[in-house]
Amino acid sequence: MTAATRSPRGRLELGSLLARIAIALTIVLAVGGLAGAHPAWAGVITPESGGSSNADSIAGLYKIVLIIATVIFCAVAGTLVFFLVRYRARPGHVASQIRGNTRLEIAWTGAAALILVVLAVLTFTRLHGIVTPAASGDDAGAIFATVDQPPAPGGHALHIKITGRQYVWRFDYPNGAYSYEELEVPIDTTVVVDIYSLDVNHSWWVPKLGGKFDAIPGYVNHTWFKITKPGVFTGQCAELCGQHHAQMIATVRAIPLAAWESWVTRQKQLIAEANAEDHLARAKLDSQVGAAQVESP
Amino acid sequence: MSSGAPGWGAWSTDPGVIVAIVFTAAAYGACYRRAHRRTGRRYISQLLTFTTGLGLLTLALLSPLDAIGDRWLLSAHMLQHVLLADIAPALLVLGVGPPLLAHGLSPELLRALSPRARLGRLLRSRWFAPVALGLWAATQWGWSIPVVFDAAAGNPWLHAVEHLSLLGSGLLLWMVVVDPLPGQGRRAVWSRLGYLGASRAAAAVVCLPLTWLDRTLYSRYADAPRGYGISGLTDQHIAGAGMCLIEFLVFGVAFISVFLDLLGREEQGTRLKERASESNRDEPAREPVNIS
Amino acid sequence: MATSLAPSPQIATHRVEREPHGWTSWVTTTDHKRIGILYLVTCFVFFMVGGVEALLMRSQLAVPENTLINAEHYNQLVTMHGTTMIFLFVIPVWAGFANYMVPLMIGARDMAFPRLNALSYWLFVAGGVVFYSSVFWNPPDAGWFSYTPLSNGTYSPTAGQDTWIYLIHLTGLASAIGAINIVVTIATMRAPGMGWGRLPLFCWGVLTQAIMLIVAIPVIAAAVTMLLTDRHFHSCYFDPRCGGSPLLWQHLFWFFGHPEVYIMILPGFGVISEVLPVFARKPIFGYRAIAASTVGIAFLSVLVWAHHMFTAPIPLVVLAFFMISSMAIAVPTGVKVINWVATLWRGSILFRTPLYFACGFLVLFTLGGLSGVMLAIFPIDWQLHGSYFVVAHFHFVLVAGAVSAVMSALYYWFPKMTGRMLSESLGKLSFWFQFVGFLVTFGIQHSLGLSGMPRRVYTYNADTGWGTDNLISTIGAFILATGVLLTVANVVRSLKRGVPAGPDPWKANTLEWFSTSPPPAHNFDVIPKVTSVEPMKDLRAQIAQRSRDDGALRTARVRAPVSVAGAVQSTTPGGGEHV
Repeated sequence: MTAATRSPRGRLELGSLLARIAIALTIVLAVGGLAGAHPAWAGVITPESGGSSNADSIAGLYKIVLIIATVIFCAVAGTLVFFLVRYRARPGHVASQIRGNTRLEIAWTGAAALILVVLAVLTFTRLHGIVTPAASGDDAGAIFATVDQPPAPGGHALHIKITGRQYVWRFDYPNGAYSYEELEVPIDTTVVVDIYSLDVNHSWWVPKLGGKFDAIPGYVNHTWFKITKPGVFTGQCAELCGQHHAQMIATVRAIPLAAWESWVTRQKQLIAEANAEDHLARAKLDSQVGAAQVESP
Repeated sequence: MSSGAPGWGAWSTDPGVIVAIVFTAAAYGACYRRAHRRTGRRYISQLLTFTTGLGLLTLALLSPLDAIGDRWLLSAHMLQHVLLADIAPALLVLGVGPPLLAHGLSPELLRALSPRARLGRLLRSRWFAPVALGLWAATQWGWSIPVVFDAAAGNPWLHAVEHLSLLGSGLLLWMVVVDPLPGQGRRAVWSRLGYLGASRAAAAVVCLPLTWLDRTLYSRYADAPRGYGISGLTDQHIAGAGMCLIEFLVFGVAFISVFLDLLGREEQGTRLKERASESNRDEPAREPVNIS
Repeated sequence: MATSLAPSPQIATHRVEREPHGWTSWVTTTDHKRIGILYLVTCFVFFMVGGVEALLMRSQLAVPENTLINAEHYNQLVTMHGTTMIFLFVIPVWAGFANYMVPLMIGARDMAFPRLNALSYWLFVAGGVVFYSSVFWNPPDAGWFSYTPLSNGTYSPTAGQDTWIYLIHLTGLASAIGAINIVVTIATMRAPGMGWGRLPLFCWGVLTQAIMLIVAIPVIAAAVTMLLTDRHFHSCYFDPRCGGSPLLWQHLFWFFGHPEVYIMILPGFGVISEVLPVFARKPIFGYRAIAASTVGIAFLSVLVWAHHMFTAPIPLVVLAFFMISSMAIAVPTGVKVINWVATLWRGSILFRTPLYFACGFLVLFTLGGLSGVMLAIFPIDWQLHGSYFVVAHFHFVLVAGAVSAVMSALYYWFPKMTGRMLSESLGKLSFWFQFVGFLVTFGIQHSLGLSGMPRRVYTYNADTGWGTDNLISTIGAFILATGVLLTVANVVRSLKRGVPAGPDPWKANTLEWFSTSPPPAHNFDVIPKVTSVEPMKDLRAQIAQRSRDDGALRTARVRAPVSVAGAVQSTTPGGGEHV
């Protein structure tokens, strides 16, 4: 490198060197920072994760893509800034009338295609971990739960039916109990949800538990999650479904298996009791109305 | 993989195929040597494309893909067909592009290909393109009919006819798209782009139903023992989506390449015309420049 | 332009026309330049309206649980904002620039069908009027893509949704007619010597956009007609209760919707391809690659639509196909970006406002493209779809992309259209406000999406922790709005007090700079012969050569006979010569 002199040309050389250093530093910092991204950055520069392994897999894949994208962006933007500085109009300087360079163009076209092939391959190798449910704690076999693969019979998974409607989620448990807005699930169990809609399009999304899947009337959609530690996870409807779309919240509460079993039994009991009360009240009303009808024609 | 399903070592040794490939390679080698002797240039890109095309042909016909596609996986058989009818012919035709053809063929062959000879006139006739497209569509659609497809997979002679017809119609199609004939006829014919699109549409007639239908069509494969861990319907979906994807990628690359070629020919043609008119500059122009 | 019949005419025309004047001349005009100006002014009005709608939304979202705008009105604003910006601003603004510039750039005297051209404009205005008349009862509130069943008769009973349908029909028809006009004009009316290999890249962008419009608009027209009959005539295309499918709407809409977004950006790509070579003083790097990429992107874009539907109940193998096809489109797009950057390599760069916007485009559009690649990977999209990440992505490519290109085009072509330069200092100030404001507004929204904030929510709870980011975004929005207003002020001021521009203030490369600023009704007295992809450079060189040969700067006589090979009138009517 020529020594930095006071001449304009020397300053330009220095400027371009500084620009090059700045670009290199940016790339190093960005890659280093991203590679070391720890969970506190989830939700800031990576998707939410931590509730279920599929969410973690997605976040991991995202990080890789983010690093590659950052490198590419720094290269493009850095080169642009460098050219703007280096080749600004100066007296006596004439632009080189270059029209192209076929070999160079083929080379960078091939490189771009190669990067995309790498991304695609990475995605397909990780797809299995995202789409296929983990085995339940009591060791079941792998069960597929994408939209077109029915769950294998005999697998140890807890099936919950989720129905979206304006503007609340309803959850139906296998024993006939149901709840609204808050889904209770046991920890360490693979939960497979079958997603329906009663009216318009909704979308079931609890970010920490994985991706979102639309509830389309007339169709059923599936996803799964397996929560390892007790906790509460929130999400909300992610497809515009009407005026109070913003209020269609969902909560998933994970509790130990024994506690869950007693909860779901109690829930069914409570519902049965409430239905019975309701029957009685209705019968009473009907008899009153009937009597009234007899009295006045 | 369950026992019985072909593995990596299950290469076929069909003598007919091997002889044909060796013969083609030898003929191309002779052509290349003659061209290189005459001009001293190394036609690296053409050599690479032709060799890749021949390599893919070998893979399609002799590798385990053939064995798997015969009885086990529909998607493997479809991949074989796409390689035969689309990718390999495109590369083979690209590999004989000018100026290799102009310098590498013997004078007798060049005469036969010239616009005055019968073969040359046939290749340049207006009907060549539509007929080639029709043949390609016919082979794509005809061989995809479930009864026919299954029969061909089971009968070696019918299978050979199937493969030959796919390869042949593919070569004709790509001859129209790539337009490799040398000489003054290298005009910018923009309909090549529409032609390319039409061929993709013809292929879509096959790949789209396979991707979207909910029931299996080919009983030979649906009833085959599951050797690779995927169900019959998934196999069919993969066959369809895979074929659609390859068609899409081929379309993208071919479209852009043909477009670039056309731009180049257009510019060449315009320059030739300008040079011709400049040599007429000494004659006084009859009327002023158009000011309509 | 002289209207009197001088005794020794220097200009041989077939007839002499009175200059059109008065507002009636604007309403009845078929001159492509006037129609272009009509488009541009109308579009900017809608841009302001859409911008106000956006600022209202951002104000509502600035703090959690805000009560500035209620749920009903917010959904209406969301729908109006998106629909206005897309159908009443970005698409027709390119029609405006194309109308004005394409005939000039190819050396024609008007579009192929001038009266159809006027019809296109008035259909577009009618669409806007019909759509905005909905504010008098109930504007539509089902989002700009009006998913069914939310948009059907049961869940959107008011007529506002129908005005959306009529808007699509009217503006769609306007665009389709305009597209046919463009295709025929470019195909048949190019100047002598302008083969396809010498067509300006802006014209390639506009031509490709036109073909895509012709392919895509019939599909959306069919889809909204089906929605109309579902809403009012008891048909059953999209209602599952009687055998229809909401997914069908999504497929039909996005089959149009994805080419639509490329329709919105391709002319912008063309503008960047015109601006960069002029301000780098060297040819575009890889003309053929850029032209081929433009056309390639157009045709490939018809096969990627389901990446808007990755979370819908669709077989996995189909999702895989659309992921790969969507990623494949990144290749020609990336090639273009690299070629544009390479255009600056070893140039002699003049820092003027059009270049600022073009460079801003390069940086920000690249970011938008990269976030698009993330969205194309469907497992990742399962987390990002329907969240503010997507909002950030499409604003990056549409605002930082298309709108930056519009700004660049405005600053670049304003001198040609009005004969006056826009103020450079105001322009640069406007750029920086827009660039910084944009980054602040939409950069932070990536983070909001990653932390789980869905789209189209009129408010959010305080305990989500999204308040700070939303406030930052709102502040950015006002900075961005200030930047836009600065440009509007610049335009208004420069119309009367801008520095007069000659025919070729930028020393540019394409034929529109050959005529006066603004051009006369017939565009060119003599249509020059084109000998390369940069005809103005050749013309300037020829004029310089002639001046040297003659020893005089101007001749007043027509040079006759004019030989066919590359000669041109040495007088440019009305203006001085810029050599």
